[in-house]
Amino acid sequence: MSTDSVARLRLNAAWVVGVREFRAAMRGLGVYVMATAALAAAGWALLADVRAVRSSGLLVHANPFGVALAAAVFALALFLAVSAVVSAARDRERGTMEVLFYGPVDEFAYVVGKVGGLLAVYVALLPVLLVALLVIGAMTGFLLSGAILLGLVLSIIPAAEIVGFGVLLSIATNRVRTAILLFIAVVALLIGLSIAYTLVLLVPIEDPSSPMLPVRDGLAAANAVAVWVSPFTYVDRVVESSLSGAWRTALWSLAAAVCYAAATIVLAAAWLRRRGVARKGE
Amino acid sequence: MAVRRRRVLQMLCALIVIVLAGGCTAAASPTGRDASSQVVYWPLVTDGVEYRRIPYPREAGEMRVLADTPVVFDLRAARVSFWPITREYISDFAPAGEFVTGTLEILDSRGELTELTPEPYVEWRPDGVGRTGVEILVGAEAVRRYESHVEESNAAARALQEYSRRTAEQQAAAEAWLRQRAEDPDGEPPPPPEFEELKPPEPYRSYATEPREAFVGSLSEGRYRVRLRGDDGEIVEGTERVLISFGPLARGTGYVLIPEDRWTQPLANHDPAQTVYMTGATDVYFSPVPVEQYNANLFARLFRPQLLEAPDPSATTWVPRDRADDRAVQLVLWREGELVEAVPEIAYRVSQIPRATRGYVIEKLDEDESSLDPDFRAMRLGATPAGITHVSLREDSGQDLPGSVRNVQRFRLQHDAFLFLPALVPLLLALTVHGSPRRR
Repeated sequence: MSTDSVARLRLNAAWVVGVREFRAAMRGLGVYVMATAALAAAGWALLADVRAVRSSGLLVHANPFGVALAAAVFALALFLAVSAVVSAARDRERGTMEVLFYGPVDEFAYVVGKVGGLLAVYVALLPVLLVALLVIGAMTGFLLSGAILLGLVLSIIPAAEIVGFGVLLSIATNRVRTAILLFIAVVALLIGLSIAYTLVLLVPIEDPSSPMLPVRDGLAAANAVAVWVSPFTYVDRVVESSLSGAWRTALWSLAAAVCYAAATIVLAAAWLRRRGVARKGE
Repeated sequence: MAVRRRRVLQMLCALIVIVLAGGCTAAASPTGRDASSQVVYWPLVTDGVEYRRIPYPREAGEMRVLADTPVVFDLRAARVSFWPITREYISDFAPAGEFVTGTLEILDSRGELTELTPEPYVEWRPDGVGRTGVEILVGAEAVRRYESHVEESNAAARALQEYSRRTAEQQAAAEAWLRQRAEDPDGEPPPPPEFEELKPPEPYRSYATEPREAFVGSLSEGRYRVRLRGDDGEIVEGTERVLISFGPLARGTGYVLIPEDRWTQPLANHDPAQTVYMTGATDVYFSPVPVEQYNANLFARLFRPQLLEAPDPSATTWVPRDRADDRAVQLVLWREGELVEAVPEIAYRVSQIPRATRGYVIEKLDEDESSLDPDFRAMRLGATPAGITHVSLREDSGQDLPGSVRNVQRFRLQHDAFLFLPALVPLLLALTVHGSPRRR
């Protein structure tokens, strides 16, 4: 078989897996609940500005929807990550993965299909998010700038990277429960580091011999590493920098997110090949 | 199963180790550095408002100065040590802080060399210490200015002394006459002493520092290499540095927005991309101010070169500047492309009135009639600017000021809960998808 037809077969298999994933997600209730949560998060994020303008009668803002967009995108990305984590582990647990691999599906097509399918869910939710922001804009008078639209579109790339990360974690486990626990542990570690560092910064240090000093410095450095390891920070960086017009940072973050997504897909496929597709205990 | 669970645990542990090890490695590097002796650059730089001396030990990296402003380069021997609390390298000039002489060589990116030799300079503050407006005077002019400053301040002190003496004399004469009248109330009253009207001398506020020697220069925008060539003709070790001279990326007009019912809490509107949202509950005073756009990271590090949480290197910031002139301007109100009204800039004074609703009233001040200074000058925009979509600033000559256009929007949300209404849409969608008869 020529390389061309292998690639076409693989692409076709990825497409089938992706469509299956997309349909499964859209038929479930989770995606709608999460979209509701994302929009509620956006509304909540806008409350601060709404209250500020009410109290002083005046507000000066370049992008009132900036924080709302970041909150909504983060909520959706979290949902995608959980879906990705559950997805592959469930396929393995139920034996679906094994059945799929009897057909013309290989590891790479499977992982690409999973990531593509969930990313399509994210893309499908973006118009809903956009319409919701437009409605809020019409109700409040807040202007929806072009930067918000751009931020919305650019967020697709870090979303792909988050899904890739979720699939990678999912491949490592045999059961849905283990996958979720692993995901919670990893997210708790990465987000916990950031929270711990923020809290430590609130502690006043007056003496260079203070025991808090090495803790603060250790957390600062660990946090600096976690910023590049954590897939969630890329969403924030891409959206924030594109909204503030920091294009160089936005482009660098996008490039890094593309590499991150590609690396997770390749790693997940390689790991799946190494582990095999059989159910646990078989 | 146990093997796989162990693998998962191993993976998690590996992630923790990677993050913590990376963290510890990065954290460990700056700590534990002992104090070292080195030549520290100690330039006197401005941010466009004030001048400050900023120490640049080797570890502080590139020096930053504002383009086309006089910069005083002072080089001193100092002991530099790491201060872990702020994570900064601190220069201690106390033990051996003598000025390092020689020739300061500044090499631009094209290889052109500028040489600076030490010359006397003074900081001249015509309006006094604590006020804006500082000039760096160099060479003979600096010495002349300092000498005239000393003469003028001495003359002012003498005038004040003389005024105090004569006031005291008149006071004593008046008291003596009153005493005499008190001792002999029925006697023939002597004529009261004649008083001349004494006018206090004008206070002397200006200030000039003593002339000191340093390298003084002004650099256009660009990246430079700086080094000190000693009197022996050799480059002084440890004096080679990189210097970035940066200027404004753009200029425009900003506003300070003063809500009538919270005049002590004005809002800054420096960025032309910002929109002004108004509820219509209060009048708003637009006070124009020139603004300049800078690279946010460079500007933040201008006075704090070792700042850890500096802004994004590709972000920008708008900085307010002093108004150079008092040219008359008007705030032009627009509805889409149609000019609605032009509001002139006038002076306002805030009168504290105990029984007023807010405790004060903002009133127009007729500067020709009143001896009082205005609290602010601004253009008043009424509480209900119906249909106004944007505003801009126009000179009396009819010329629009660049970068002065601002979008103005009416905030109109009735109730906070309405913000959450769109969140119900996905649930309704879910009901449609899951509740359709076909699906059931």
